[in-house]
Amino acid sequence: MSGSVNSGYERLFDIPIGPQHPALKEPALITLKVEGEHVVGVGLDVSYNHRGIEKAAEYRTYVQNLYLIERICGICNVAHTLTFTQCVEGVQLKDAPERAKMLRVLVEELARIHSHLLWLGVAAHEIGFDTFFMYIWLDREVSLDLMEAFTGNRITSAYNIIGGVRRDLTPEITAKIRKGMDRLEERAKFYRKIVETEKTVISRTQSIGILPPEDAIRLSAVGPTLRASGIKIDARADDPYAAHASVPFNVITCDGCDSFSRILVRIDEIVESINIIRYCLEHLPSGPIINRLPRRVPAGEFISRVEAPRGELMHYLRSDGSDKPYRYKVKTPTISNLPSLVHMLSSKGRYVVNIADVPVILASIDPCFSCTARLEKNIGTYGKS
Amino acid sequence: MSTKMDDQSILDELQKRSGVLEAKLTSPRRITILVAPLDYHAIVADLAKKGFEHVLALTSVDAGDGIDILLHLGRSTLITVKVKLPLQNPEIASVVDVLPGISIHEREVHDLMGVNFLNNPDLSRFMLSEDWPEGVFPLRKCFVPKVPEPIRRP
Repeated sequence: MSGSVNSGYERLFDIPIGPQHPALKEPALITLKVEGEHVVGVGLDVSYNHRGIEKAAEYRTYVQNLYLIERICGICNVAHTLTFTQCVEGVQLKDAPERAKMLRVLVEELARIHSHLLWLGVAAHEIGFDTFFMYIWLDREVSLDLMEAFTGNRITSAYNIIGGVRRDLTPEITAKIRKGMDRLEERAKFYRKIVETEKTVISRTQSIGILPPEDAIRLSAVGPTLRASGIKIDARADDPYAAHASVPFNVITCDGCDSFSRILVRIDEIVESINIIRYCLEHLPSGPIINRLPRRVPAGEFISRVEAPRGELMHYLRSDGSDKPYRYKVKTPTISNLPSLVHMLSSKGRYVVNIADVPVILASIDPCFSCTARLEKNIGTYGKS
Repeated sequence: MSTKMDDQSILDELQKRSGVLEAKLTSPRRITILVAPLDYHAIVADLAKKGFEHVLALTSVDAGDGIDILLHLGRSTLITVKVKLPLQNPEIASVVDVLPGISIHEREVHDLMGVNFLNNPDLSRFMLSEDWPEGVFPLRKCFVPKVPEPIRRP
């Protein structure tokens, strides 16, 4: 640990945050090495909710796995099922119908809106601005109600299925979504104004958690964390999947490199998602919504990459010709952002991290430890303790 | 840089590279190359210099006759560097010196598949709980989990 901070303290102390801590929403152990008030090093342990999903996937059929994979993460369940179905379709060299692809984009963006609003609320709460948090979560209900009307469930929607999607869009739902988007757009613009002008937000986030662009690239950061460092990379644009190749959108970036820019990037992404949803409603192709595919999958491998709300999500499937995967690998966005998080949490030279900044920096990458940590372990030592 | 080049030119360049045993385009924007364990570090360092410095993931597969390590690199076109290791004492040079973002992925594979990454300064436990027995690697095929009995009404 570099001792380059001139705080006048001679001893380093270890401060554990977690696994259970009021500042954390999920169990993780963050061991801060501090010199006075300054954090100079950090250790991470995220192994508290390992559920063994990768191993468990090898023991289930593809249809059963669809519902298992969805439960890796509640918030980005749409991204997970989308990646999974693309993997299974990719190994079979089949594709979903055009209408289904567009509907997948639509529901993916709807999920992105609710995920970003959830995050924005959590960030406001971490800053200590709870009124803002309540307002945001009230508006998140708009997106959740639309999700429920459209897919049948608020959170775990089980919308994407192998070969297509489960439900078609009706004219009533279309009208509802249009109305909801108008409201959310107005609110997102209002939130942007608040964030830009409210002193509470600015003083707690500006110049905190700096991630310079060269470090973001070097440490393989992904998602809004990367784009807030001014780098224009988005899997939807660089490696288009589903109907993204035909849906125009802007990759949102911000040059601030700090927690404040991460808030702005996410708010702007909400507006961009609203525009994508409107485009999808306008340009929805007609046709079937599902190609029925066989339950057995031929031997092969496939890598599918999706831009989940938190960043780049990757699934790898190796099949052996049976109805169960031979190996299923999930790489979630948070694990890619952990090296950057450690970098942001360590004071170096003139860059100083105070203990009070830690929750804000941690929240700024939108961590999801239940995704990250425990994607694969055994399913079977229950009761053995 | 990687986004500017098309798949075919990347593939042609990789096929010419010594140490690459096999290179093929598996689907659009997906290239898989097979390399020998001893050439792995040099080839990854070379790719990192050419703009493939983004670590998408590090996958390990127990293929039955050995362990496959798959390193996925790239933001747009995805290059998968595949290495085959023996089941007994799988060892490979760590690439953490050229790709700092891989440190956590190597710890994960070390934990769950038991692959030893030489020269990685920190291979401490990351994925598994602290009371997990040493030398038991849950993602290997020889590890068969005990499935709990279904709960039934008496």
